[in-house]
Amino acid sequence: MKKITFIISVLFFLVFGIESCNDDLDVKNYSALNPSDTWNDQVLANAYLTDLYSYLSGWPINDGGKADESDGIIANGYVQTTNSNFKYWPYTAIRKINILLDEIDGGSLPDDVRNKIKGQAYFLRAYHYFKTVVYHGGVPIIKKPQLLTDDLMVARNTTKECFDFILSDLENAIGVLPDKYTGDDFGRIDKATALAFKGRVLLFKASPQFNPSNPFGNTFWQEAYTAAKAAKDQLESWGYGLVSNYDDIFLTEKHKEVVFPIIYTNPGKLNSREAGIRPLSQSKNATGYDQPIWSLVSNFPMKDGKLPGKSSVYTYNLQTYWQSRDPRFYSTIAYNACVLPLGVSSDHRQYNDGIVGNIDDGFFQGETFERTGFYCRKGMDNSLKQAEVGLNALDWIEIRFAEVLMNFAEAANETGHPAEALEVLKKIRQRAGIDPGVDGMYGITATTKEQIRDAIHFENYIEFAFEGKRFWELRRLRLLHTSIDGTRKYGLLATLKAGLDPNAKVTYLPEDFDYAVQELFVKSAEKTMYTPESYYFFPISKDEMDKNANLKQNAGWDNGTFDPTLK
Amino acid sequence: MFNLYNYKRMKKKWINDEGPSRSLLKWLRVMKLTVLFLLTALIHVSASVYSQQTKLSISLQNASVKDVLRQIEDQSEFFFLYKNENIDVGRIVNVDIRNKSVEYLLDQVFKGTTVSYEIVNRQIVLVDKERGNPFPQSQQQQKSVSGKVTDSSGGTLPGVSVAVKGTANGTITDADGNYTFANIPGDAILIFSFVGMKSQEIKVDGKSVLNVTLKEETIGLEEVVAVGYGSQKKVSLTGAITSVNAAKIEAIPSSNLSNTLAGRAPGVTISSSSGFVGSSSDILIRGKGTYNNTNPLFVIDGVVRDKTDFDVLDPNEVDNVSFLKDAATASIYGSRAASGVVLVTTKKGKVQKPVFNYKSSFSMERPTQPLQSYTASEQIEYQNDVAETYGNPAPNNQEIIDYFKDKTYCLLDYIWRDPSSQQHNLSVNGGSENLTYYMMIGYNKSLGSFYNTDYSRYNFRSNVTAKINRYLSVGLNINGNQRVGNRFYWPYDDAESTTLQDFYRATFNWQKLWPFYVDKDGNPTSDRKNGYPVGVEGWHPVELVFNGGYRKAVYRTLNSIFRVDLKIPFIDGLSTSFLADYTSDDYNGKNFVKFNKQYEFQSASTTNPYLPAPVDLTKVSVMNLSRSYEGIDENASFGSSYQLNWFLNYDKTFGKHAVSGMVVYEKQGLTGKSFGGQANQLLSSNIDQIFASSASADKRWFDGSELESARASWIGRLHYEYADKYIAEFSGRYDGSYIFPEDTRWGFFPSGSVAWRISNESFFDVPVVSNLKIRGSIGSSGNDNVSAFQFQNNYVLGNSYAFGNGINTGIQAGTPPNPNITWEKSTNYNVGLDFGLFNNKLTGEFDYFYRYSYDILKERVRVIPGTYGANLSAENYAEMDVRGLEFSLNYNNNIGKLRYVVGGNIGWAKDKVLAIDEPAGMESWRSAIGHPIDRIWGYDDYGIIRTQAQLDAIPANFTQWGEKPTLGAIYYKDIRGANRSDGPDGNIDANDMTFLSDNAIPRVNYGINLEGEWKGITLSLLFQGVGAYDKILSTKDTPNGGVFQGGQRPYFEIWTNHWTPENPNAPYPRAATYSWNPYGIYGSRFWIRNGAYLRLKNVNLAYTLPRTWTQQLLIDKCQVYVNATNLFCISGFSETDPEQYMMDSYPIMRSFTAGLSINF
Repeated sequence: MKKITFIISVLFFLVFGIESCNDDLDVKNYSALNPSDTWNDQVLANAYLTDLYSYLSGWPINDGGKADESDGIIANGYVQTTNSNFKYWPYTAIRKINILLDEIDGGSLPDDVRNKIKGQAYFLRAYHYFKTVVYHGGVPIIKKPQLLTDDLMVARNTTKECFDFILSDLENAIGVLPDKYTGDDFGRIDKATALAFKGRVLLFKASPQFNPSNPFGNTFWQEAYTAAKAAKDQLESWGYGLVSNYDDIFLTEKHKEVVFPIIYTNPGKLNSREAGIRPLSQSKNATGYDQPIWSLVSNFPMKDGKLPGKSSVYTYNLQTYWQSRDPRFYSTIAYNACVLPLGVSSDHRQYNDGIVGNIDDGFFQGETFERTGFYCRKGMDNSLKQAEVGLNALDWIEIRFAEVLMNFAEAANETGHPAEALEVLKKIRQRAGIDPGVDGMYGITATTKEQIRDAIHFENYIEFAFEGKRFWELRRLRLLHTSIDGTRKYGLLATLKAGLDPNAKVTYLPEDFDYAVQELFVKSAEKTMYTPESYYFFPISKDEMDKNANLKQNAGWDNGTFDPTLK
Repeated sequence: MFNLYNYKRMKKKWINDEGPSRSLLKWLRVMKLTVLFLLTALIHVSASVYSQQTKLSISLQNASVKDVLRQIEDQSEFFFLYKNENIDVGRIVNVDIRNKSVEYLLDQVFKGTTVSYEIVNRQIVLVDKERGNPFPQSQQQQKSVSGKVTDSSGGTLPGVSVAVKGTANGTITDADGNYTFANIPGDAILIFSFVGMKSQEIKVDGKSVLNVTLKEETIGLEEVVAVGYGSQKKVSLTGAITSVNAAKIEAIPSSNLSNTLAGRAPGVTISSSSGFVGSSSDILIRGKGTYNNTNPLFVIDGVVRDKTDFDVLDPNEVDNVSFLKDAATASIYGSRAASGVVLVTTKKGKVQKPVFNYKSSFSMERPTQPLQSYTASEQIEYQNDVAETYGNPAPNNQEIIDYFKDKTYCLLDYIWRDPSSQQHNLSVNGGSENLTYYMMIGYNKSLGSFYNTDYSRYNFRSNVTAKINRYLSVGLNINGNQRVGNRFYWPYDDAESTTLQDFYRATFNWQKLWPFYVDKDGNPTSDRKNGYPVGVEGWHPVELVFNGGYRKAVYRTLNSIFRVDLKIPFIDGLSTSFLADYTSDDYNGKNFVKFNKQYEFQSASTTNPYLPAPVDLTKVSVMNLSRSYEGIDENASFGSSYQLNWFLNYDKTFGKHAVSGMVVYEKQGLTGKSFGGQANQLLSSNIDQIFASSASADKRWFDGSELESARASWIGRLHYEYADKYIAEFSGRYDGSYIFPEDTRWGFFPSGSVAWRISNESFFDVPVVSNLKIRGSIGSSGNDNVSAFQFQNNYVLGNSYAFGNGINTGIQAGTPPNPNITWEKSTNYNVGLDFGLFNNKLTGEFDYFYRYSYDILKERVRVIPGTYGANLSAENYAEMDVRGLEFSLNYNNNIGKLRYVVGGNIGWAKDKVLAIDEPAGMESWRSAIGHPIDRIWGYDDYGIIRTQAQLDAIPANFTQWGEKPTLGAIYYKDIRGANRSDGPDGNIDANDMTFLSDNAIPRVNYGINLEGEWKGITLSLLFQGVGAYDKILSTKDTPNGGVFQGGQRPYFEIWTNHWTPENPNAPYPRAATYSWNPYGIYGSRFWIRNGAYLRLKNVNLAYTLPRTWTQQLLIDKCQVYVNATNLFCISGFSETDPEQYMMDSYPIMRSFTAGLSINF
C-alpha cells in the first residue's frame, strides 16, 4: 500500500510539479526580432533599410516588347481595370519606409547614422511615389504607417501634390546623404543618385504626358533644366562621366558611368536574365527574353551616324544589313551567323535560321517558339558555359551618366539652349564610336528645336535599347498612339543560299544566307499593337476601387472623373 | 449453473496442452519459418501437470481468509471454488509459512473449523460440511464425454475449442467436428468457442454424449468502442462514431494506412489522387467547415500525433480505427477537434498461449486506365493538323510519313515498369494474466513505376503490459518506423511529391519521332550502355532516370508510451492512470545533383529531319537542372515531442444507476530543428560525397531553423445511465495553446448528449426490433490550426540586397499583430438513430448533423484598401456552416453453410459560407456568401462550332480574345464586357468568366460491402463511390480547368479525336498550340464532367486451409488470399480515372496481391 501511495505521488509530481501550466505555454518564437531593439542598433537599423532596397527592380526584361524594341504584343484589352497589367501600387514598400521614418527618431542611433539611413529611405519613398505617379497620376499620399483603427478610406492626392511630395522627399535625401558611396557601400543611394533621379523626375513632370495642353511651352521645363544641369555639373565634379567603350557599360562594373546601380553578386544575388536572352540551344530553363525585332535592328545608324540608306559613305542593302553599322549595333544585337562565344568557343557562330542552327533557336515558318531572328547581346556574359547561365552577376544600372546627360540635353533644348543639347549628342555618339564626319557632327543633321528634340529621342532609342526606357519615353512624349498603336512586328528570315548543304559540317558566314523581312509568327490572334491615348495614364485596379469608395478612377476608364495631369 | 461470488476464470488457460518435446519440435519449425525474428524476449512457459510439489511462502498478520486465498492464487496457479454464503472468508487469521505445500497451508488456515478442501488438478474446492455441500454432485465422479459440434445448418465444425470450465483441460474438435474427454467431473461445464460463433457453456450433467450446435455471433451490440480518453460499450454511445476493424484492412497492400479506408465510414471522405509509391489519401470528416486546415486530429493510443504518423502505421499493428464525428465524441479534444478526430488503437497482448503470425504478400500494379500510347505516324499526322489550323504548310511530307510507317520511339518502353510491392509481417501475441505482450515487425517495399524509384517502410511494435498486482498494472508500448524513399533527381517536383506531376507530364506523352540512342554509325539502338544518348529536347529522360543523380529521403520515428493504471484500493470504482509519451523523429533528405548530358540529334537528310546521322561529339547539350554546378544537398530535421496525462476515473453501478466520470490533465509540447546545406562543384560526377565538392566557401551554403510548441488542458466527462434506458453524458475540455496570446489562449469546449434506448422500455414490445436507440448531441469544438504568434509585434527576416561586393541580410516589420486572435469555434448538432432488427441481423445507423463554424480566422484582405500596405493577421470573423446526412446498414445471416454480410453506408455533406469579407463595390454575383468554398470558375460555352452553318449564325463582329471564331473552336458565352461591365460586348475575354458549379468536391460518398464465408473460404468485396461532383478536366499548366495542348506535347489521348473538317462530330476541339485560346486551354463548361463514380475498391478472397492438412506442418492456421484493388470503375468521366488529380498527373493504380498468413 505504501508503494502505491508512493507511485501516485511520483506520478502526480511528474505531471503537475515540474512547471506551472501557464508558463509552459509561453514558448519562444525563434524567428522573431524585437522591433524596439532595431532602432537602437546600427546593424539592425541598416538591415531594415537593406530590405527596403529589395523593392527596387533589376534588369527590365521584355520591357521593349511594349514598344518597338523586342517581340511581344500589347493587344486590345491588355489593360483593364479588372486585371493586373500596368498597375503599380507599392504601398507595402511605402508602409515599411514609413515605419522606418516614424520610428527611427525614437531610437538611440547617432545622428550621423540616423540621417544617412533616413536619407536613403526618403529617396526610396520618392522613387516609389514617382513610379506610381508615372503609371496612374496622383495617388493617395500616405506619410505615416496607418493603424487599422485609422480612416483607411483615403482619397487620391492631385498629381501636383504628389510631385511636390516626391520632390520634398528628394530634397530631404539630398540634404543628408553623402556625395558618393564607395567600397562596401557602393550601390547605396547617395547625393549623386538623388540629384540624377531628381533630374529624371522633373523631366517627366515637364513632359507632354502630364501637360497635354501645353507639352513643350510649360514652365516646368525650366525647373527640369535647372535640376538636370545641377546634376550634370555636380556629378562631373565628383568624377562621373562616360566610359570610353560602349561595350564596357554593362560588361564591366563600378565604372564612372554608374550613377544608380542594382548590384548582382555571385553567390547571393544572381541575374536570371542570362538564361532568357541566350539562344535556347546554349541556355537552360528559360528562353525568349528581349528578342530584338526588325524595327530596332533596322534603325541603327550606319557607322557615320546616318540612317541606313541615307549615308553617302556606307551603302545599305538588306542582304548585307549587318555591315558598317553604328558600333552599338554589334554590342546590342546578336544577328544570324555572328560570332557569339556563349561559353562554347571564342569563334563560335550563332545561327538563327533553325536549319543550320538549332531548331529551337530559329526564326522560320513552323518554329516552335516565338523567335525574331535576333538575340539581345547587351548584358550577355559570353564567358559562361551552358550549365552556368544562372551565374550571370553583372550589375544593372538604373541610372547611368549618359541618361543624366541626355535628360540635360532634352531640357536644354526645350529651354533655348540648343548648343548644349547638341554638345551632349555629339559626346554620346563620339563614345559610341561613330565617325565624326568632316563636319565633326557625328552624322547629326538636326538644327531646329523640333529636329534636335527628335534627334535626342532617336538617340535614346539606340543608346538605351533594352534598358527599359523606350515605352516609357514614348508615353512621356504622348507618342504611343501615333507611333506604336496599330503597328505589327517583324523579324528577319535567314535562309541558307541555294546550293549550300545545311548538313555539311562547315562554318557559314552571314553572307551565306538570303534575308527577308517577315512578320513574326505569333501564334495567337494578337498581332496588332494597341496603345491608345487612354494608356497615358493607367487605371487604378477595380479591386482597389471596390474596397475604397473615396478613390476616384482616372478619366477615360470606367467613367472615371480624376484628372491625372498637371493642369 | 454455479453462482459463485469468487469464481475465477482459469488463469493460465492453455488449450491443447503440449509436452516439452512437442514444443521443441515446433520451435524448430518456427525457426525455419521466421529466420529473422528475435525471440529472446519471449518467455515460453511450458505447462505441465500441476503437482503437489508446488511450494508456497506466505506471511500475513491479521489477514482475512480471503486475503490468504488470494495470495495463494497470486503465487500459484491454484484457484478456489467456494460459495460465499458457505465459507466464512472474512475470518481473521495469522499465517507465516515458508516453502510449504498448499495442503500444509490450508490445514493451518482451516484448523478448528468444519471447512474441508479438495484439490483437483489446480482447482481447490472448499466445503463447509456443517453448512452443507454446495456442490451436490461429487467432484470425484469422473466421466468420459464425447460429442460432435455443428453449426446451425448442421455442418460439422472442425477446430472448435472445447474447454472444461475452471480447469486447464481442453481440446479441439477434429475434422469431423468430434471431441472427446477421458476423465472429467460429472458436473463439469464445457465451454465451446469458435471464431465468429457465440461461445456456449454446457453442463455435462452426467451425460456421456454431448452434441452441440453453435450459433453465429451477432456482431455489434456488446462491442466496446474506443472513445476519447477511454472506451465505451457501443450500446451506451450517445454520439456519432464509426469504427473500422483492422481485420478488414489487413489484407490490403498499401504503403499508407489512409489508402485502405475509403468507403468504409459514412461521412468520411477519403480521396487519393495518385497511385505513386508512398502516396497517401486525404481524410475529410463531415465536409469542410473552415477556410483553414481541415485535417482531422489524429490520436494514436491516446496520444495526439499527426497525419503522417497515422499513415505510416502498418495495418497489421492496428486494432481499430475510429472516426469521431460529432460534438459528443469529438469535443473532448477541444480546440483541435472541429474537423473531427481519428482515433487509433494498436494491438495489445491477450491472455493466451503465444500465437505467432507470419504474413507475407506480393502485389503487382497496373494503371487503372491504359497509359497514353500513340505512334509516330499519329504524331506527325497531328502536327500536320496543327499546321492546317494555322494555314501553314504541312511540316511532314510524304517521305516522312513513309519513314515512320514502321517505326516509333516510345520513351515509356525505357523508363516505365509495372510497379510492385511486397509486405512481410511477423508478430506474436500472448501472455499470462500477469504479463501480456504483442510484438511485431513489418516490412513493406514498393518499386515505383519509373525505374530507380522505390519506397520502403519498416515498422516494429512491442506492447507489453504487466499486471503487478490486483491494483496496479504498467504498460510500455514502444514502436517505431523507418521510411526510405529513393528516386532519381528531378528538381521540378517537390522533393517527395507523390503526384510527380512535372516529371510525369513531361514524359507520359513524350514525342515519338526521335530515337533515344544511336550507335556510332548513327543507327538507332536501344543499347543504353554503348549507344550515344541523343535528342532535340532540352534533356534526356532515359539518361536522367538511369544515369542521373538521386534523391534519398529517410524518415525515422520512435515512439514510446508508458502507462500506469492504478485502482484506488479504498474506493470501489475509482482508479487513476498516468500516461507519458515521448516521440522522437528525424529526417534526412539527400540530393545528388548530376547534370543531364546528351548529344544533339544529327540529321542525315534535308528533306527528312528525322533521319539520323552519326553524332557530332562536339555538340553536347547539358541540362543543368536549374543548378550552376553538380553538387550535393543535405537536409535534416530533428523533432521530439511529449505528452503527459494524468487520469482520474470513476465507474460504478448503484442498482439501476450507472455512473462513470473522468478528469484528465494533459500537457504536450514539441521542439524541432531543421537545417540544410549545399555543396557544389563536384570533383567528379561519379562521387556523391560532400568532400568531393569545391572547398571554396561561396560554393557551399547552410541554413536552418528551430521551433517549439506547448499545450495544456483539463478534460472532464460524466456519463450516467439509468436502467440501461436513459443515457446522458456531459464532457468538457479547458484548453490552452501556445498559438494565442495569454488573454485568449484558454478556452472551454463543452458538449452534452443524451440517448434513449427505446427497445429496453417495457412498453416497447416489437419482437422484430431487437435494438432501437435515439440519440442527440450538442457541443462545441475549436480549430487552432493556424500559424502561431500572430499576436506578437515582431520584426522578421526580410529580403537581402547587395551593396559593394557582398550580400546583406534584410529584416522587415512582420505582419501587424492581432492581439485578440483566438481559435475558430464550431457548434455541432447531431441527432441519430441506431437500430437492430431480427435479432440484430440487420443493424443500421442514421445521423443528421449541422455544424456552425464561427470566429473562423481569415485575413480581411478584400476589404482593407491596398494603401494600408501590409498583409493582415488573421482575424476571428468568418462564418460557415456544414450540414449533412449519414446512413449505414448492415445485414448478417447465413444460408446453409454460407455466412454472409451485406452492408452499405452513405454520407452527404455540404458547406456554405455565411460571412466573409467582401468589398463594398463588388458585384453581387461574385459573392462567396451562400455558396460552398469549393466552386468551379471559368467560361460558359455552347460547345464546339462544328459546321459552317453554326459559324455563320454567330454575329459578324463577335470575337474571342480579339479573334473571329473559327470552325472547330469552342464557342463561349459572352456575358460581360470590358472591365467586368454587365452585358455582352461582342468579345470573349477574362471578364466573361463566372461560377459554373458549386460541387467542385464530391458531396456524396458511399460504400457497399459484401462478405461471404463458406467452408474456410471468405470473399469480401468493397464498392466505393462518390456523387454530386462536378470535375473539371485540368492540367498542371491549367490548374483551374482546360487542357494544355502544345505542338510538341499534345495530350494525345484527347487530341487524336479532334475536330477536323472530315471529323466534325469529334469530341474535342481543333488541334492547336499552347497559346491558342479558343481551342480549349481555358477552363470552361466544355471540360466539366460528372465526376461521380462507383468502383470496386477492393476484392479479397481468402481460403483457410483445413486444419487436418496444416497440422502436419505444426501450423494452427494457414490462410492464403488474393486481393485486388480498383478492379473496375463505372463513371462518366472517360479521359482519366475519375480520381486522378489532373490529366497529366500520375495515374491511379490497380493492384493485384497474393498473400499468405500463418498462425503457429
